[in-house]
Amino acid sequence: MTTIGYVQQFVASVGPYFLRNRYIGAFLEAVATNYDLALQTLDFGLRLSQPLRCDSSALPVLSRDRGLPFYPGESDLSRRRRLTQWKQLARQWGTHPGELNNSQPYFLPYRPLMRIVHQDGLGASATWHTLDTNGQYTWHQQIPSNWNWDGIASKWSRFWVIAYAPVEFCSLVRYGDGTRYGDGHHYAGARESVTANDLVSMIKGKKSAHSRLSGYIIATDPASFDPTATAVTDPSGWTSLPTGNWGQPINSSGTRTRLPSALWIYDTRTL
Amino acid sequence: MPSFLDLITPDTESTWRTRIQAFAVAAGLKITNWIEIGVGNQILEMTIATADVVGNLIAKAIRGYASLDTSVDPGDIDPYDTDNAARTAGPGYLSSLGQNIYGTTRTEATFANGPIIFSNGSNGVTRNLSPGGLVFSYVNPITGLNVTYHTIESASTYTNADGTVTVAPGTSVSLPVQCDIIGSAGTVPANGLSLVTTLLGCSGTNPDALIGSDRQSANSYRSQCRTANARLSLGGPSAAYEQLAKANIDGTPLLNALGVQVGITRVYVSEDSSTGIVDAYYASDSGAPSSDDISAANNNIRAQAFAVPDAITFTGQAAIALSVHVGGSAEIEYRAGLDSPTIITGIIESLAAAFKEFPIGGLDRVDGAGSIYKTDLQAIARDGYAGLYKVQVTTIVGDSVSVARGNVAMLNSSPSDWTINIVTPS
Repeated sequence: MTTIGYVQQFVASVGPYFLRNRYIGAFLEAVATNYDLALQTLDFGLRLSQPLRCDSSALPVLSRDRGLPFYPGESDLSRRRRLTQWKQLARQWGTHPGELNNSQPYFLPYRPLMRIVHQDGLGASATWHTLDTNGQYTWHQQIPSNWNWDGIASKWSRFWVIAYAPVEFCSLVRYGDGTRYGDGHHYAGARESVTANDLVSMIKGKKSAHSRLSGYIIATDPASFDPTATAVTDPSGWTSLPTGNWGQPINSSGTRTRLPSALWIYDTRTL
Repeated sequence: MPSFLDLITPDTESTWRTRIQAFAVAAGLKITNWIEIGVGNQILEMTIATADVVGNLIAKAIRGYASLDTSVDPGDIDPYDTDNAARTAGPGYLSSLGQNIYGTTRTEATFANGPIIFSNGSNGVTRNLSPGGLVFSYVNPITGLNVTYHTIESASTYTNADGTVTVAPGTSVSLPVQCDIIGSAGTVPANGLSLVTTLLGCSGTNPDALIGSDRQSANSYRSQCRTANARLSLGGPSAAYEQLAKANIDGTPLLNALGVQVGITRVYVSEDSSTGIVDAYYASDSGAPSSDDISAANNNIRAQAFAVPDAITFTGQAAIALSVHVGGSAEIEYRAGLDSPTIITGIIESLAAAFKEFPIGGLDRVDGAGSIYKTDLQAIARDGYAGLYKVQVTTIVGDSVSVARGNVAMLNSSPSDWTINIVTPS
């Protein structure tokens, strides 16, 4: 790393007295200052390939070279962080830990608890992948399954993402408050739809080709979606975890099926 | 901090002059009073020129490390250094960046080489041959280029104590030869070489084709570097299927069972499945790839990197060619030398190049099905010849052509489909 003025000071200190006078000395120091500037340019230039130290104008270039798309609402902090991890992330593309690792930086400096859950093809077990607030990954297999989405176990390659996101990220409208669905999957109309689209795209862009992101859930209750829990039915009819009843948010009797503390920013229902 | 563009662009000599003068003046030097061509002025100019050289070298180094797009090897086209293309081709910044950061080696040019069979006729003369002693030649019937080959060193061939090999009358020996020029220009088909060295009763030629290769183009290498990380994951992402349909795990081009480089240029991989199904479609520049290419792609995807996890139902198949008839009209203001056939050729070539880039399923795909837009085609046609305007594609009804999942749009456009109106200004 260069220090502006280093070459200038060096020249000023080593020259004989007759090269330090008012005219020659001034000229030599002027030349030396330009070499200081050139070295600083070199320093800045070499930082262009360093995501944590480069000018932000270099980030799109690194994104292209490293095959990591940026998202419209993504902060520079997240972009820089993901670019430093590009090989580790690429190594995990198509895996659930990889999807979580690619997404969690979006919330930086906050690191929310995130989970991915899916059920096996026989409906016998549910597998929960968790990335905690320290970036620690764990998984848990729950037998018998506590994630029976719609009773269709044969659709085994579906998975759901659960993010315990901070409120400022996802103060989204809720189903039933009069705001209509947009394209059938995303809530529409709110500024936060950019965030919702980003979060969904971060999962879908790097998931395995053989899987389907079936839903993206924002959990506001830290105690909800416990991997080891068993579904509990509320007196009003909804259940804390799916028991084959979450394919539709409201059942044929007009009763809410899903727990009210969670928001769905992406929901393919029964695809 | 300066922007990316500022840092990769070298300052001009004028900028250095202004800067040095400004510093000098700020330091109290009455620089404007110097006598032109005087010693002081000469020193100033030399200093400015030196600073300019240093600045250019620094900018070049920055471009070399900053990104694949700005980095070049000697011999590549460099928009910032027009002399670079004329330099001797070899590894430089780009190759270094590709190897060190992306783990990918640029394919350098190779000399065509291999064995020839030298036959000593039955004229009773025993021949003792040394490496380099025989010259062969081949005239390329298309380019007219006359390439020469020499025999080269081989410890297993030249086994005599004096470094020669003895060929008795009426016998033959296999000798290694190498082309004197590097690259594909030196390629010779089987039996193409003839013995040039005068040896009465002797002959020689190559039983197999001798292949020389050119250096990989800079853009091809950059593209290979960018997709290199797709081969890192064994978790079945789409990018891994796409990469392995075209290239080996080490990034080298995939060869089919015939030993020919696979011609697959575009791949579509289904995006979502609830039951573990992956469908891939392949296309070449000319539409559906050969069955040999499809087999090679499928085998590579299945075998080489375990890109297909267990329990996944994977099918790789040829994309279906969808003929898109494109024709219409355009106007251009009169200027000397214009002729309609040349303009139409430019339009069709521009469209043909674009169709090779259209993804399987078209643009703006939803579940693999998308469109080719008329406005895009009109813009592409307009770019086919400088000065065109009012380009109208009339053969497409509506705003776009629908391209179904697994279909690849193929251009159907002949000169008779186009009308050029050369407008004479009134």
